Amino acid sequence: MPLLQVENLQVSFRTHNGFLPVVRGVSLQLHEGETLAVVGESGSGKSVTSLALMGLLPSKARVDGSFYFQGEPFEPPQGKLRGHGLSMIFQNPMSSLNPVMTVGKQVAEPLLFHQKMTVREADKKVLELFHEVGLPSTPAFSQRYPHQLSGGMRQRVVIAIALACAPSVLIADEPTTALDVTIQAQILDLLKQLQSHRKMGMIMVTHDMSVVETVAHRVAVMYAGQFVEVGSCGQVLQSPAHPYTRALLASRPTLTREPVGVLKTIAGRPPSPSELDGGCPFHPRCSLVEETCRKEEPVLQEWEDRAVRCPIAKKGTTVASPG
Amino acid sequence: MLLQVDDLRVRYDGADEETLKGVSLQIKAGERLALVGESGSGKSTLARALLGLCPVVGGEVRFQGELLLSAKQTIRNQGYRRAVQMIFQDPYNSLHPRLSVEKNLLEPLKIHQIYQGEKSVEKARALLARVGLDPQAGSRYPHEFSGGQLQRIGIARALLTEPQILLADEPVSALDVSVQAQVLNLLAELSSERRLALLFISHDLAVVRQLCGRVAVMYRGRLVESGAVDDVCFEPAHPYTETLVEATLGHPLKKVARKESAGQGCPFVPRCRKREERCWQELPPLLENTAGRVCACHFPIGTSDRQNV
Repeated sequence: MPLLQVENLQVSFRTHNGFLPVVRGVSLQLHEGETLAVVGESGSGKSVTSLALMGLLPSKARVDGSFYFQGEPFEPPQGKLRGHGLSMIFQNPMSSLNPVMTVGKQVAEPLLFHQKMTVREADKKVLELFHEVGLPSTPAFSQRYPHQLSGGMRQRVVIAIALACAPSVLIADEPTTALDVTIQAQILDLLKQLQSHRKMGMIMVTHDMSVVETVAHRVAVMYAGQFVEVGSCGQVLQSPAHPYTRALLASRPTLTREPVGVLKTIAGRPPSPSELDGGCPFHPRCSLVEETCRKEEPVLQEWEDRAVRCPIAKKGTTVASPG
Repeated sequence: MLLQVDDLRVRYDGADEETLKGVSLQIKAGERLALVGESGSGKSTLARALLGLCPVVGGEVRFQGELLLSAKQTIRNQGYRRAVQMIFQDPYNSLHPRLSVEKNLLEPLKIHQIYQGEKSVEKARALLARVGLDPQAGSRYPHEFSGGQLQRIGIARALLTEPQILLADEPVSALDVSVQAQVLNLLAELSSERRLALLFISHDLAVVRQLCGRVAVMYRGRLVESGAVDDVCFEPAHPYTETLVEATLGHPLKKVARKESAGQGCPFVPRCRKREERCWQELPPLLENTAGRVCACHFPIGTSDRQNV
């Protein structure tokens, strides 16, 4: 039984032009000890998906879909699963911490609130959590304020808060984007260790393929509010099938000894939710485009080892690869 | 030599120590030099110092051989101000939100009194077209554009004064991968067609290799290594450079027990995998090992103990 299962998640935002669909039918399964990376560019709906799971969207958002946690249905906007069921880490550690509260108190908060610990129990647990995330486990450190810490240490504090109630699923939304590359490597390393140690399921939301490579078991590539390719990390990165995944991987510079040429780019830009015209959302930028792509929105099809939302790519695997 | 920086030192008011502790580098016409390092290494301070925006307390900067900037002299050369322009990491915050794009672009022309009236508008439109925006873009406002388009506008504004050096402070780090590729290609084209030198600040070695020929690695206000980009990336001599390369490649980190340093030794010693007794005591000088390659390390990584790539 999967730890977390989402069926046909739809999120739309109310605007003065009616509801704009931002997430359009996302289904996912997450198993114990597994990391699923959701990768996409700004506006693809990846953060909205994770906020919808946590029930953190504003009231102008309309959320539809079925959610199951360990087989039991649940409704995201209620707080019962927060903390011990699902927990989240955000991108900017400075803005997710309270600047006028000591870090010890902030880590203790979920313990007092969700687990009804006494202050003394919570203080003891806080030191254990500090130790687990690689921070000094001393009462003196508990007394420090976020501005006294470096970016990497702040993100460790945020991770300690997220882990406080021993969640089964950890959702991390771009947890290392605001950090230096060496610190980024340390934090990813830490998340990986914690995850395998605690057997958590993890959803890593990112735009960075190298983060996907480092931590994920499976990857879901998101475009215009839909998953366009889902598969194991190695397979998708090694032999991407969807034209968007291929183009995305080809447009990133890599540190190899290959001679440097002009980077491949994807012409145009992603469509905004109001521009969707019923065809494949990627067709205006796609090199494999055919007549049907303009008329019909493709469905996500199971295909050997993965799921791909492109009938043309499936048909044309033996034909030349797109540019 | 277009720009020569010698032993440049910057100390902000009230700071305990210098932010730049003696940095020397040269940029030739049309050359693309990358500066890499983590936050706090001083790479942005160096760029800002070259614009005269930081309190310089020592060293000097020469532009085409002429003394431009030192502890005693602020930048007075108006030709230099025109010849050096900057683009920023956040393109939205670097444009005036209540001026149309065209008005934003005309600001540098007004200030430098290069063109007037019709001529300047014509020039601005031509540059907008050159960076890949449509002609109507000029009458719109910054909030109507995406990040990639705004960075193109930032580049167009920087190019209006026909600079010889473009300082680029993390210009693509806030952009999505596919847009990043477009902006990198544009910078490469512009630099070649205008013989425009680039000082490209980045934390991403893969991006640096895509665009630049030479790279200088900074750590805590000093240069620790510089050389041709492939030599530095694939045969790093300084252990800090090696750490950066490993992190970029996503290799597992080597654990080094951290110890506090007494302060007079090598600044990297608490994190270094090759440290020895001498490293705690003595600051390693920046030495030229092979032609065009410098490194500040008592025990640089040789071919024998290189572990990767």
